[in-house]
Amino acid sequence: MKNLISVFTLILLLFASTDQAMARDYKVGSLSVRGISKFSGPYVSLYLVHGSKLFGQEITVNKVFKVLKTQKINGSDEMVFGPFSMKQNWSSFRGPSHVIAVIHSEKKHALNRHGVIDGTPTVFEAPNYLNSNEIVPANNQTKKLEIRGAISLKDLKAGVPLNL
Amino acid sequence: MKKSLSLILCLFGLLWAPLVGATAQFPLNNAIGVAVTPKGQEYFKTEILTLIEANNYQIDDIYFPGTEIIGEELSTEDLVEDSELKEVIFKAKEVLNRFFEGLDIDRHQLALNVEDIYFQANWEEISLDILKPTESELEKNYQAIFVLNLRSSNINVEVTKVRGKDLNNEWLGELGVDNFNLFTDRDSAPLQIQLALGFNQVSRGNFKIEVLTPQSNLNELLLGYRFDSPLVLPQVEVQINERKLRLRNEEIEALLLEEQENILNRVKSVLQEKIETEIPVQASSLINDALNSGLKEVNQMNPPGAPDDKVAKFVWALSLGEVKYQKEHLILNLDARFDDPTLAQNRSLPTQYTAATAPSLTKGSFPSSDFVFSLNQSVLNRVIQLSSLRGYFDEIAMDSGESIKLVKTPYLSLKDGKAKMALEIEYEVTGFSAVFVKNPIRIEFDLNLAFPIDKDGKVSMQVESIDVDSSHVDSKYIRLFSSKVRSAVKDKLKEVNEDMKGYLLTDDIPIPDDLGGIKLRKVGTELDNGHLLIYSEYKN
Repeated sequence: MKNLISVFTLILLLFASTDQAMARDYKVGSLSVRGISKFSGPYVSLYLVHGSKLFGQEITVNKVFKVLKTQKINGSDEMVFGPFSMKQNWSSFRGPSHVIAVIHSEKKHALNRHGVIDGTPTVFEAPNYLNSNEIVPANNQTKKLEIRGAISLKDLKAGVPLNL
Repeated sequence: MKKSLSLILCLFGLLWAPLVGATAQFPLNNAIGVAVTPKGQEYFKTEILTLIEANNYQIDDIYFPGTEIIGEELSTEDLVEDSELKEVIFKAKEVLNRFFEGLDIDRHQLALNVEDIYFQANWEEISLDILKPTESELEKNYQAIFVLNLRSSNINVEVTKVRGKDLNNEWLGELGVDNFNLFTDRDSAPLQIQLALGFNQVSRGNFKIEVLTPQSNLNELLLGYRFDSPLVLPQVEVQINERKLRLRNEEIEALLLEEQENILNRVKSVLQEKIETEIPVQASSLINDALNSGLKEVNQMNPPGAPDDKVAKFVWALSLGEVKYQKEHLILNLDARFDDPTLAQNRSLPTQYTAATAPSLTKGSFPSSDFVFSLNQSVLNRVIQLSSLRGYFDEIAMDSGESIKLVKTPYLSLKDGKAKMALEIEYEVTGFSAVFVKNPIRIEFDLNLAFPIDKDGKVSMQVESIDVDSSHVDSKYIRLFSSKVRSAVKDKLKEVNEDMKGYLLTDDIPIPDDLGGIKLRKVGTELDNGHLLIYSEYKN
């Protein structure tokens, strides 16, 4: 009995979750990304993240909940992505807050947790990933990015576009 | 000239950001200070829930996805801790395995599968008190004590599905419950939890938060539970000759409900023990992990004076260097670094352009303020230095079409209650006056600066006047009539002084208006020994 209670306690108090979990559905509405034609890409990646700001203008990425999409840009200035639906294999205690869009040259991009939003970052640190299979090893090629933009989920729901 | 100064200073819009890696060095000590005044701390007593929600945390209705927990393989007797009971089980196992063919009970691997957990609480009180450490706490090197109080009258936990099984003995089937609901009774006392955190500064920039023994009234709560019937239980039958004996699962279910009080008392006892012993250790570990990663933040900024926005940006980082509780103010001092990633060799900022000591943030010059921010002159000067090294301030285009060559980096000084910017310009004297000088001449003078707050709440840096008396032309640039030449220079500066008065060097020094989700309004500025102080209050 004590062992069983310990297990439940651990679950409840530490908000445990794993990627094997049975989970409810989570949805992210469609997102319009604008200003793409200023960049050569050819790839754009979207990330569902928890980000925070204190003093800085750019958010710090604390956790990547899901890599929503990576695809080639199509030459137009605006692209619409989503809506997205996924299993919520995370606790709502601290859930996603932003969607990040990155335009990059390599097929795989290593997202930087720091607010360095263009060029090859001299200071790089990978954020935490909920799904370890989505981690892209960082090297001089995968770290490169042309531009990174972010939009809060609150703004996204209100129909605000993400301007790069 | 105005345009040039604008170029020089238009960049101060980038200086703020949190940050930093533990391995990085932060040469600008006390770069930024933040003080929460006694009045400001009241906010945390009443509005902490707003702050929690503003930072995308949810604590009143939390969903946890299910999970699968698989235990280690162990023997039957190791399922219990009591040594005497172990012995009994071991012997029973031997007997059963000997006399019942096909049983073969020996080792087990338990798996627990939980689907969808919902936690709901009606938080009547969530408050945070920031306290001065007591003498004994100071001896433990705590710089500040944070006390979190939570009270909820209505706790409800729902678990959609729970299943347990023995992976080594799948024939035992599953044991489980559907729609399990644990709740506080209507007549129950509210749950109260007090969690105290000791903020321990091991060394500058090296912190450790310790969760002191939590207090709760868990034992006083009236709890209940319910679940869907029937329980998921293995079907147990024993056949003796023609007679089949069946385990009455419905009686097990009834027993769980009959013994609810005893079971819940045991649950509360175990939880209370964990709250007092294990949770502080686990929570300390979680908080310190979050602290170590959460304080690392690096950001970038457009270099001031850059010809366009396509140039490589400067990178900066802030690091929490010091935390202390002083004169009822919670004070955070942040160290910083600003770098140009294109520089082959780093050049440090000469020490005379920094304020070596931390500012006094407890003077209370603006009693209505909730926060006081400080900005070390080193931050402004470092950014000016980096742009100067890129040559962005070599030449200043004037409205007249002429240009002035700046021959010295225009560093700022915020000493003795005065803000000054020292300029040294190279100037080509034309016309008849050129006879008296050795062109091009160099003129040194200071600008007196002010930091007013405009109607939109922005802190600007503007020219108050030219400090004409500070002007100087070295003798080596003068052929004849030194005093006349210098006097003429002063006259010229006086002439432009009126035009310069009120000239904006930057219209928005980026002091945050939103600190971790708290909206702020600036109410005043002040200079303090090499620092610009900005007083802010909550914006409701």
